[in-house]
Amino acid sequence: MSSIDASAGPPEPDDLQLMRRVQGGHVADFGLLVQRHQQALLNFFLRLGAYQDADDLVQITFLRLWHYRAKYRPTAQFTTFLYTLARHAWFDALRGRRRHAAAVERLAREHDGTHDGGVGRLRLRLDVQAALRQLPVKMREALVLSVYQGLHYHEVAAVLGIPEGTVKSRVFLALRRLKEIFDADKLA
Amino acid sequence: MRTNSRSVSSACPRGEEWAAHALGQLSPERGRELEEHLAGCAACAAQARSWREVVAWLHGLPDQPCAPDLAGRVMAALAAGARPAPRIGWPARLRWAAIVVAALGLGLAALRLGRPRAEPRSLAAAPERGRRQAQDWLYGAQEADGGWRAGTVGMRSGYAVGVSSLALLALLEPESAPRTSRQVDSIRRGVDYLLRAQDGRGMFGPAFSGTPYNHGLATLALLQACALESNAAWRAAATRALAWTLAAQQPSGGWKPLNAAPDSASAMITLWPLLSLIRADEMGFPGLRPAVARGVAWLRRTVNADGLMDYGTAPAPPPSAAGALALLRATALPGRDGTAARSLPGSIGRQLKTQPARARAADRGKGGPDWDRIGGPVYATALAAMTVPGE
Repeated sequence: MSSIDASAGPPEPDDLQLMRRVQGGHVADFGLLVQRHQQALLNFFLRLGAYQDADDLVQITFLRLWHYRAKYRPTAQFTTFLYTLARHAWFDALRGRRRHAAAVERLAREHDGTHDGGVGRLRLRLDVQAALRQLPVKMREALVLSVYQGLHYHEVAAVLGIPEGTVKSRVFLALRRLKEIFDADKLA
Repeated sequence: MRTNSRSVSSACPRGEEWAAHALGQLSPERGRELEEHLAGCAACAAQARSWREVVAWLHGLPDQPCAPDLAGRVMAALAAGARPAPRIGWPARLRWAAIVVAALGLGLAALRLGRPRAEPRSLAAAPERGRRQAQDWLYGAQEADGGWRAGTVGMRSGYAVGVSSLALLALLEPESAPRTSRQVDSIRRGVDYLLRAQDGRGMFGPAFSGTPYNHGLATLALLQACALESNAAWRAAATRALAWTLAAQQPSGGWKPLNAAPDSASAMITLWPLLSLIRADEMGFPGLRPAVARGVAWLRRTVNADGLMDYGTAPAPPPSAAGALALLRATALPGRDGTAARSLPGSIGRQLKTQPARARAADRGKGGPDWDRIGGPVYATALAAMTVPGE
């Protein structure tokens, strides 16, 4: 009796192929893209610090992806396009709370955690998420995109709209600050 | 970049290259050069190891799983024709909820304290007629299942329980208002909707980051309904809801988004569960005072050096009025923070000044789509109804 290998189906279409179909209005292929990228996108927002909005921001980003699907050009990586939309969604959410600059300032400070008599500092050294929160937003987003989302520096530059050299600098400064925290924890 | 090498050669990596190397971002050529260099330079090899350790530490942060229905919600929103451009997020709306509710509470508390009423003029001038119109609109907007829609865009459907609770709270204000049998029936159907959203543990609404909002608001609405009508089933549900609230309280005393880091409590979130505990304590539910005291103590730690409320326990300008009502209504507790209470009129006034559209909406005194500026007519109309001072 022959057996059927369930894993031997046709190869999964890549993001580019799916986006082409989505541009043609294929909702089912859009659903595949959502399934494929929802978790990475959720964790992108969580690592940026959008704890309360992460679910909503994922939804907003995907709806924008559908809305702006015609603007996608296959010359660019799909993830570059997706994270550009995601970053805009995040900033739009921040703008809703206050002026952009004040929001960025608050995000940088609200989770500082260094004002609770030292107990918080000890905990922060042991907690990656808390350490990420200590980074200024510009450093944090560059680091998250390169470390967690797996984007190359030139792709991060495209998402953030800054020169690649600036990305290198921000990622280095972010990693150096995290290294200080990590090293201090090892000594503690 | 300082290295451990006593003699740094031109082949030793520059500062940014340490990060790029650890992250695999160097070009293949430079990567090979650097690896060859590391093979003969112990100091640089040690440096490279230490940078890689940091990257490995970062990669130790586990991915959070998505809510099982996340993709489904996206597709449902798409099918519903949702437009992807909400300009103000739910937390911002909740902050405004806190502000306007705090403004209402401020008026009540100021009377209790025997001090002059100090709420912003625009709110004080909002007519009772406006509340009635807003409530009428809310009665009309109730869905067949007894709930209210979470907004017009569909993508925030997870907050339907919270928004429905807010609508109920608006309809339950003030307790002494005369109600027709149809209106009472509407309130009962709203409560039934909430009860259907409660799980066996007592938690309201779907389990996602926004659950504490939904749960806190639903518990508060349910308690208000219990105050209006004696109903054993409602009271039993409220008891279960309070148990979940107590279990969700953080060691710090505050509340946080579901699945968030333990230290991410915020005044914005803490307000609702704490208010429900305070209300339940007033109504005679036993054993809540220690939790209330811890919650209020946590909120007090959000008072900054100027006596204003911050978003959390770390400084975060501008001050938020979130938590203010909880503090002000904690009249049964000794040692209420007078400094924070005195600061609130100015804090609320300043924030209203930055959003004049909000105050104008309250002034217009009418319900309906004109009040949908902050994310959905039900939400905005319910809040507007609650801004009107009690009779």
